[in-house]
Amino acid sequence: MYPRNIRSFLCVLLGLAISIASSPAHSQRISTDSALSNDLRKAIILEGYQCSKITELLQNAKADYRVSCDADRQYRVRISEENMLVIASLSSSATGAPQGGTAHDEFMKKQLFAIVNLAGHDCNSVISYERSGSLGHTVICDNQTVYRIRVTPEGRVAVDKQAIEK
Amino acid sequence: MKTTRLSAIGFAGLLGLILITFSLIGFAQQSHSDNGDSEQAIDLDGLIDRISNSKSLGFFTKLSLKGDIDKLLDGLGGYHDNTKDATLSELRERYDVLVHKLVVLLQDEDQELVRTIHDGRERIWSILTDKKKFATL
Repeated sequence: MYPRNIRSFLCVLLGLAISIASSPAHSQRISTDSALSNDLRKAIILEGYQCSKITELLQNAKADYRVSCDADRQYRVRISEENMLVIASLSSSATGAPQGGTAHDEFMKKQLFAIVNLAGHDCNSVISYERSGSLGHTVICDNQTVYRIRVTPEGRVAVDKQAIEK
Repeated sequence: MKTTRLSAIGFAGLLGLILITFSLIGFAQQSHSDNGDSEQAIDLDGLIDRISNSKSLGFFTKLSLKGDIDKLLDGLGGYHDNTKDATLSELRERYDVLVHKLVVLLQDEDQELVRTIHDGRERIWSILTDKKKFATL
């Protein structure tokens, strides 16, 4: 129907169209000052990873983000098919809460890590903890910094830095 | 299609958060009313509305909280059914730190809400540890 050179041209054009249609969407840069950025940072900390400040935020797809934090920490934050929050560390410096011990220990260390970091303190990982009073905890981080978590009479949660352990 | 799915996910996340904190407070409210003490009754709808609109809790934050809450409820369910190893003391400790975490996220934005959660903490725990009441959650 068409001359051979036009057929070839149409084939190339079709291939190009298919390639463009099937390629992943380009990442979109999002402001690191946005509410979304702050939300992602908190979620990363809640899941046991460190992120004091987001330096770059890219959206790969809907509910799928590439997050760069301070100290060259990089994460991929997305929502799974089961509607679960999934955070994967993309750099060796982005380590999560330490594993090991009992399931209870793992759960507690993750929660205490999040409380200390969300309160604005620096703790790479919780190495040990113990009950302090009826509602409080004393937490020792990997840099040997000790934090005391307590509940004030008004119901607020206070995180107090204690002396460095020698 | 994707937008619809994301909306559904957002709703699920919000629902999950509500499940642990405020449906439980709802039971606390109910049990409190049963005792005839309405003075400290909790405005459940108001609480849900406040948590839903709280700028302190974003979508991903709520989804993360939901994951931990599910684990706690799973542990409590196992305790009541004698199918999990966690002791009541351990479960109480997990409950306390989860409440702490929620409070840390909220306390700079809504002190009144934090106070309400603090006041309801023991009553919520008593419901969670009551096998019959827990089964109705």
